[in-house]
Amino acid sequence: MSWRRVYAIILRYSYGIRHDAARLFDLFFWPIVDLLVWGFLTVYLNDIGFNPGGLGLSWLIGGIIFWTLLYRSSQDVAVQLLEDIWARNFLNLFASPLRLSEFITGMVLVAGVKVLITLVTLAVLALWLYHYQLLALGLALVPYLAVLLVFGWGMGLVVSALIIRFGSRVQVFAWGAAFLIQPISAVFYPVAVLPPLVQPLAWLNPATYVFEGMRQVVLHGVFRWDQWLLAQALALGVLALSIWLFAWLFNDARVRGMLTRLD
Amino acid sequence: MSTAIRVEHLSKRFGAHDAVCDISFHVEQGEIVGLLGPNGAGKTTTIQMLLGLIEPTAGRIEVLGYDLARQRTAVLQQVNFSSAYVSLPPRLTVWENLDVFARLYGVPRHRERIAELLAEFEIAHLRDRPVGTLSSGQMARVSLCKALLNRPRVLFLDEPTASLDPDAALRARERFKAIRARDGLAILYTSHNMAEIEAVCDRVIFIHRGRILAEGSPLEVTRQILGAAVDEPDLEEVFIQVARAGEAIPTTAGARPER
Repeated sequence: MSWRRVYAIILRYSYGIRHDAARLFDLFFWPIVDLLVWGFLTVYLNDIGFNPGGLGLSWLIGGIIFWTLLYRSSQDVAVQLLEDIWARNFLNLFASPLRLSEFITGMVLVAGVKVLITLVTLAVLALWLYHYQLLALGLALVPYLAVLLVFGWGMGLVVSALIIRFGSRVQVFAWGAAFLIQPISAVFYPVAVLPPLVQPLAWLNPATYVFEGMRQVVLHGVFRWDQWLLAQALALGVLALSIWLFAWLFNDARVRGMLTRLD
Repeated sequence: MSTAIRVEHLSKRFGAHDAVCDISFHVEQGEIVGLLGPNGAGKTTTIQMLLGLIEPTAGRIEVLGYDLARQRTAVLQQVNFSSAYVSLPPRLTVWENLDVFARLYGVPRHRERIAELLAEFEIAHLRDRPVGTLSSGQMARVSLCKALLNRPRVLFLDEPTASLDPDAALRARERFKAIRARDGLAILYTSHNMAEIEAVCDRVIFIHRGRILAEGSPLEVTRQILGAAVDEPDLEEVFIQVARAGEAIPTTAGARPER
């Protein structure tokens, strides 16, 4: 692994953010719109005295911030790949000494930094507009973020692998993949409300532990390390599988001659 | 002269279709070799296999003494390419694009190298312009700057003048020859402009239906296909004859179609 080439990939996508209004919208606009919608819903529900289970309503805002981090992490990885396919730059990159591991590392690192920028923006806005303190989660914030980031990278790489295999006709998943698992992620409701048959599926989803765990911290002030470890192990498993899938489909595309026909 | 590219029994099969079928050739250091053939002949597939972008079904590729299959990074560090069908990210400026690729190739003193190339290709004034706002001729020059960033010892040029006007194309050809004379690099060149091939290439390899049909100097190839009585290279006539003969033409070196 050459960190010089990883840095070149980081630079390539960083330059892209600077010049592309669409990427700035992804970074700030859409996450802020989500925060405003859910934030004002929270204000309204508070005003009418809606307080299920004594939980308060701040978890709705916390939920949308965490959910935004997950889908942005996934989306950033896949959209960055698409940018090079749209620009017909993919062959330039892979006709250079760049290794696949360096490309993936550069992509996920840029996606990680972008997600952290979005997180800080949303945390400051939530504090200013709704007096919601993300930092009230205390040290639990860091391990939960790690799960979401790693799981998001994994989903993004799965979508990227599918784009390498099937081309840009499956690009819609770059924006929508995370939403496929939203119903079983317990973002705004506990797993217990899901049909019994679906609940085991929800517990295979690393994000579920984060959203359930966040509510436990708010309600009881308890951080379940055992649950977090399980979630992190699942997220790392998804990431490892996604890297394997990406490498496999990339090499398959080289064999089939599809790599040179991506558009 | 040492051998820059050595291709032995190279084949590529896509399903039931043989895109490239058991071809062998070599390119010497300092030589410009044209890879010719009608659409679908297998030129681009061959170049893409030489760049490691397509995995061969069989055969061996050696570039600068390295086995491409086992030493891909070492090979790609010393080669580069430019194609009319591959672009650079349009929103990045000329400088930013070249900066990224200079770092990918590990170009020493890369800022000086980029400035030198921009001056050589007379586009220094465009360095802060997004690539997407350039004319196709200007873009082609940026692409050539990218292709020369790492001072490659082997250069693949896939229809490099396809988007240039005749004057710009002429100047590009002169530049290729000057760079070859100065740096002694090997160039594998494809183009549909036969006059250009005759003007630039020392030797041509004519591919048809994935097989090498003829190989030699432009005049030798013309004679192999059109007959020994020909005394001027006429690759355009060769091209037309081969393209019109289609399936009827046998694909063994030296064979020629009925006139």
